[in-house]
Amino acid sequence: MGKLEKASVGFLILLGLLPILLELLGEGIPKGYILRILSSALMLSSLALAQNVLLGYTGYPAFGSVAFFGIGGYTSAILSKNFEVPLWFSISLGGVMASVVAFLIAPVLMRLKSHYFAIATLALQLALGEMVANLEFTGGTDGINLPIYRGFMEDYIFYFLFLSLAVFSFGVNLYVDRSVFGYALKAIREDEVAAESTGVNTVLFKSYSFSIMAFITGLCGGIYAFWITYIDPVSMFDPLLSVKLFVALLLGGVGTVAGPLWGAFGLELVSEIVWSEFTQIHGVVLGLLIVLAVLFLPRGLAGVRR
Amino acid sequence: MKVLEVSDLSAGYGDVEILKSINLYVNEGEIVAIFGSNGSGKSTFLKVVAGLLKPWGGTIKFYDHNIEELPPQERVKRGIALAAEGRQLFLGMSVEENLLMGGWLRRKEIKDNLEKVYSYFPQLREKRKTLAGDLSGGQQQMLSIGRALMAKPKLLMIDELSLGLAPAVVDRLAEVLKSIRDKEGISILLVEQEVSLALDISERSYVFDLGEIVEEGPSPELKRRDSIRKTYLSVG
Repeated sequence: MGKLEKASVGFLILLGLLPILLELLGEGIPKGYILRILSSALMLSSLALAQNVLLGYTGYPAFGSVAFFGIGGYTSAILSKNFEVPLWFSISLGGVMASVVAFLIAPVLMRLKSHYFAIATLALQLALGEMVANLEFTGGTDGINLPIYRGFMEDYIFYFLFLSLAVFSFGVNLYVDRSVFGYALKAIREDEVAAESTGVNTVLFKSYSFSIMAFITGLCGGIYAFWITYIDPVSMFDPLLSVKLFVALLLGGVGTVAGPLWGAFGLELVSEIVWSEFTQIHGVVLGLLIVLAVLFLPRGLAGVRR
Repeated sequence: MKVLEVSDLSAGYGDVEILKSINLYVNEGEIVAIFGSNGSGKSTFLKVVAGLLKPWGGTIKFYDHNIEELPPQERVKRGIALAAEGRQLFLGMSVEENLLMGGWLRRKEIKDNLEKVYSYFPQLREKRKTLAGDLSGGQQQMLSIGRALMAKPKLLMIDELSLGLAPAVVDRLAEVLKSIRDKEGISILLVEQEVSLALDISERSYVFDLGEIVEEGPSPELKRRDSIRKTYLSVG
């Protein structure tokens, strides 16, 4: 394991221990604020790590991957509202639904490459958003209100759910980076025809990769839905979230295991500081920082360590 | 015994017919060369046999079984491997990772096959951690052939062995290919623009022109044929 990867494991363990510290410190600190920022960063990490499996290792940029965030979120919300299934079960089914949809459409969608593929996925995201806005059982443009979670560890539950998802996504990336399965994906990224001529079933492996991305993104959507307790088509199929997760991924380093995690935390931290310090012009400052990062860190934060 | 037997094969891109009624065979343990001018359909022919391009008509038999409907990975499984034109390596992956990918469908025997490839190309063992993109042209060609050998093929197809390589390197590669054929009993189908090389290394040759076979026969005999000498060897 590389240094940056070891540091990431250490960092994730520290994040796991953080609630103990927060409890020990008691009332004096803004617990809710800290947990909210960290949960957002962990959510963004998971989305970036999911995209990394597809873009970083397989070479397909799904610019509209948030479509699966929406599918996951809406599936769990509808299940929870209509059938009163437990939280963990509805979130899991959201992930499963997203990955099944992805697996079914992948053979068609992944005939396209590079920017054509990116645009097609974006079209999927926007089309699904419109569809959800016009259907009755999804609540239309009014959206769906979800019950506020009360129960076991209620202050920390979403923080731990996002943390678990980030750990899982990190593990998936580590596996893809080192395994024979990952070799096949990398071969597709490098030269799809050559991969096919060495005997890789490229259609199948691209579908796997797409589904893994969708599964993690779908789980993320489910957790997010219960976290904010209200979802509508605008928030669940938001193109800005796509932009944000791509910036996090590029900032951290595409095709590296640890990069997306650090990119997401870096971006979340910077945007939070910029937001509080430059309220009027935070968009400009953030944009400038992104331009500088692209200019001086072309291979992302993980690239600096290489 | 015929390893490969192609009958009345036609293929093309879009509306353009590139191959017209090709009849060609390769015997077990034989080295067969295809040569001809640019755009004569040589590489397209290998692509069709490898399953990377669908034929328009005709049949392709591999050990007497029709394979023209099979996907590429199934053909690799049966024993057809292609070292493609321009080498088509995974440039961002190491030498060893490239070779391991070559053995994708023979993962159980991967260690033995890897050792075998390294014994034919010791330079690859020295460079096994190097990225394929950082290799010299000759080493990349070795890697391309090595990767194809990892699939333990019965028929090895090589597209443009000599492309962009120094004559000394090509001679060495040709020697290795002959020893691979002798030791492993693999049949080799070689597409080559360097006609004298193609005729020297092979037992039989086919000459492609505008998608058709215009001449064929044992290579030593073709070498003496006037039409070949005038058109391709610049003699007489």
